[in-house]
Amino acid sequence: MIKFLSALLVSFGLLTSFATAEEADRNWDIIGYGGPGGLFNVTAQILQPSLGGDIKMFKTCVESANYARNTTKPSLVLMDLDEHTRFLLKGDDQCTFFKEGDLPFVNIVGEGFLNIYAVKDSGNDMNRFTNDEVFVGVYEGLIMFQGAKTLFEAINPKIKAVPYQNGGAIIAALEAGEIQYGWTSRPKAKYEVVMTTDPAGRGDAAIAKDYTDSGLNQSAYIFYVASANIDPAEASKVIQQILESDEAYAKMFRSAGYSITNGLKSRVEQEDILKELSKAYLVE
Amino acid sequence: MDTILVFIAALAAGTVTGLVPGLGIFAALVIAYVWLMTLDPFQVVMFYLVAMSVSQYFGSVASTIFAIPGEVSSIPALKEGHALFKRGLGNKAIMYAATGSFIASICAVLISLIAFSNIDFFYKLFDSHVQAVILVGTSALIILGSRNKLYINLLLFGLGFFLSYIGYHTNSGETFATFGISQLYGGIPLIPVVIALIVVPEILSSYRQSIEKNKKDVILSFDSYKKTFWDLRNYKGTLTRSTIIGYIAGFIPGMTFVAGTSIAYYVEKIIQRRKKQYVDNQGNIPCLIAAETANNAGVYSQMLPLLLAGIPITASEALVYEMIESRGIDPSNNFFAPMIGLLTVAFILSSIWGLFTAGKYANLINSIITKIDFKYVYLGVAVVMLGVNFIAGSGMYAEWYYMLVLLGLLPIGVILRKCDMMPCLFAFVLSYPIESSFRRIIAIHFGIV
Repeated sequence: MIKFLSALLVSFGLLTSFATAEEADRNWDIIGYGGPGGLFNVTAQILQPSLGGDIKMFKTCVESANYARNTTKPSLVLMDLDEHTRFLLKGDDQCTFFKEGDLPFVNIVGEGFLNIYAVKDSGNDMNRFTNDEVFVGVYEGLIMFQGAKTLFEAINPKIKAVPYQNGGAIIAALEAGEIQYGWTSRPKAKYEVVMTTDPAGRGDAAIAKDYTDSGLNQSAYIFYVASANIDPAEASKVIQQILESDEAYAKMFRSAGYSITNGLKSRVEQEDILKELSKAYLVE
Repeated sequence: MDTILVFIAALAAGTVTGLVPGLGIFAALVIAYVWLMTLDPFQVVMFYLVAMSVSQYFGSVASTIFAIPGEVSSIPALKEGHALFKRGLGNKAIMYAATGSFIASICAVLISLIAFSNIDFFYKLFDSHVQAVILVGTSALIILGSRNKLYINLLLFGLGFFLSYIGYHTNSGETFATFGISQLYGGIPLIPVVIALIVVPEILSSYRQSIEKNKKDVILSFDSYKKTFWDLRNYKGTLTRSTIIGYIAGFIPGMTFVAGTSIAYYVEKIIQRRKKQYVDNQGNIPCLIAAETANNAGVYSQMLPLLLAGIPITASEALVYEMIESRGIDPSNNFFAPMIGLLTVAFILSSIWGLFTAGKYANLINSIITKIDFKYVYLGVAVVMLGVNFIAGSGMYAEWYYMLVLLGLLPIGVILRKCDMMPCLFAFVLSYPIESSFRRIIAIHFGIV
């Protein structure tokens, strides 16, 4: 029995390690946080085989930032707009790397535009979205949720935003008929995009800025990379090379409107961009 | 050939996740992520289903013999199964749990085959309102069904809620009781809570009893599977009821078989109390069968929204969904429909494997513990649990934080060792789904969050 179990464990180990055999000699860790199947988890999995180091995922940005500030290994640190903005605006800098002397920002990696989607041929079209009392499922994160609510208010005050833990829960509620629309940065092919903040590749979807002057009409989901113990220019170059050539990333993100935007921006420029976005989300 | 290798790897992954506390199926998916990304989509879905099915069998064996809950859904098995084990009825506990689980798995498949055309009815039923009713009902069952006095249960439930509320709240941007300590932002982790409040008190009590116990009392002598199947006819009411509860609860988004296990367990406990057949701390076979039956029925039914409608209803399924979609495939019902037959075969095979190897594994353990004084086994378990806590913490780069939380909660577990701590634990686990469903209901009806 012991032999049998051992054989099973060894086979599992061998099978799972086989695919990761081709690792680069950089040995850079990737530090991030967040939920299962989320953007950071998936991006980290895509980057890791080329970087060679470990993936260190934490539950919150505070823990990941704390780890990143103390690690001695070369590491890339993934941060997103939602957590970042909240802490910056509240003056709580536990999650930000904007402080003088803190980790340098090397890249804005992704800029996924936001989309309202519905079940195909369900009758939940743009007309209904702009005129009726409808329910839209939105990720419950504070900035994302408040931003969505503010945008909906400007388009049709009768829209109600309903908070869900993740995209899977939004889809389940959409299919159950609890909500009529979902809000996402990566729409699934089986659903119809009704409205978008960026029309590229979205077919006949309505464009948000045609319906409201709100500063959120071009809002985007952005996430950032900081570097710890790595030259920022080198880190930026490597990230761009990996993500631009990676097939999985292309299918999951670029095809969903994500683009690798800012190659290397100064700390001041990054901070300005973030503050503008924060204002748009919270002050509208 | 590749598919067979994936099947074997899934059996191994399910065995390990079932035995090791804190190593859930999602962790197995993440560990194997890079490898899974190289597989055919059918193999990815099969890996997930098989590993999850097998982990349920092994989780109950570890709970019954060592009082180690491999999975959250194994905690009722810890309470009832380990109590039976201490009474020298571990053989029955293990065989009934494995056989009941197997019957439930097969029944879940049969129910699904009959109901395939109307299966969307089930998952469309579970909107936020129904989820809230189920969660409140489950909480009421737990508070009423636990053996403490009512006010103690309410206090323990409150304690569980309080512990779960510590940390940073994504939805409000507020923190609670973090005191500026970065680890507390992530909240109190589940593993040290389970060890301090459930496992250690159980081990303390078992250790004391083991000193006075004759070694022969803990040696297992298994009945044949044929006899066990035959004996289970005496529990057909429990089996039917729990299979149905587990099957339906498997459709509840985010909670699935964990909710089914809790509901079936507490329903059975109340029934057994009414029949005056439930004796505290003695272990109850129908309650054990109810919990184990419900979780295996739920494992299969929770897959159906994904397979029949392309709807992921758990975090692990969302990850599987992403893996498939990343290959440029639309994971819709059209994509999954041709796989259902083969996946069902894989599920049945994994259940057969679970049925026989979980028993065999228990036999292996049995042959070892006959040579050891059982009090040393409990001491060993206590040391192993400390190690598990440390390793689980190091997985989150917070090993000392996990140890401190464990140390901080241990006095509560020891002082309250004579209490049934299940209300506290379930409140800890269910608090977020309860809060979240009510927040959605408020948003739908009042437009405020």
